[in-house]
Amino acid sequence: MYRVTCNGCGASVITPDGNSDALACPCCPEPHSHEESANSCPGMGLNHVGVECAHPAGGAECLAVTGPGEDCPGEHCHMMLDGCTVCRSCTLEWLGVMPVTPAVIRA
Amino acid sequence: MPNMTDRPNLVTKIIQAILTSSTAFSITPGTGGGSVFTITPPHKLRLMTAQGTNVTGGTELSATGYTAGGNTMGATAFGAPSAGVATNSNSVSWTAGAAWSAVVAIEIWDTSGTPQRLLQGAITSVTLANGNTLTFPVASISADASAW
Repeated sequence: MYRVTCNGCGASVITPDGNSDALACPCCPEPHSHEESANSCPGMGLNHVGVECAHPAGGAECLAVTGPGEDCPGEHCHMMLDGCTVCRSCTLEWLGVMPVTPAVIRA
Repeated sequence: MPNMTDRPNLVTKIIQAILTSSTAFSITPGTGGGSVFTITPPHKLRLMTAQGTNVTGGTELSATGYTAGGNTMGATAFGAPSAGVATNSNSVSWTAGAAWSAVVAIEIWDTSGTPQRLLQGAITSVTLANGNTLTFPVASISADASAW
């Protein structure tokens, strides 16, 4: 069992498999296009070389890994930006006690 | 024949030495008692996409946000055993930097030059989406002397 907690609002739910879809909090599930946001980024395809990131953090934590000339994978953006793919990031906490057994081998 | 495990004494002491020590130590058997072996903390918790067995290692997760070899369990990985059972002293977490494959098991290794696998066990399969965090809280992993 896992406790799934929304990192945005703190809502939580216990699920057998850690599926965050069971969260009923109002964070994130607003309809939006990740692709549209990613494609509007001035640094798209440039890894922000010579183009400042629109995010206040300056792209330091930007998840974009698109190479020059490559299509944006649509996973660009940063938490709190519109279209962010991690705007409802969750923490999945293992519940209960997991027994482990001895197993000594060399790597 | 009754169970011969001396759980309250010798086994518990060995478990505590291996899992609770914060510094490396060696056990040197006497004549004919086998080879010297060394346990080197800190121990690390690894995530596995395929569970191994008690004699064969599993398949370690390879994913963005996960460093091969696992995350440290702290200087003292487990607390002193109580009634023969020791549990982890610190929480251990990872945050996925991309969608992860399903994690189905964990393993605990020391940090010797050639790390040694010490413990393994299954968890309920869990899959992380990009940006999600997986946490094993304090006292969520147990090593029971009765299993040794």
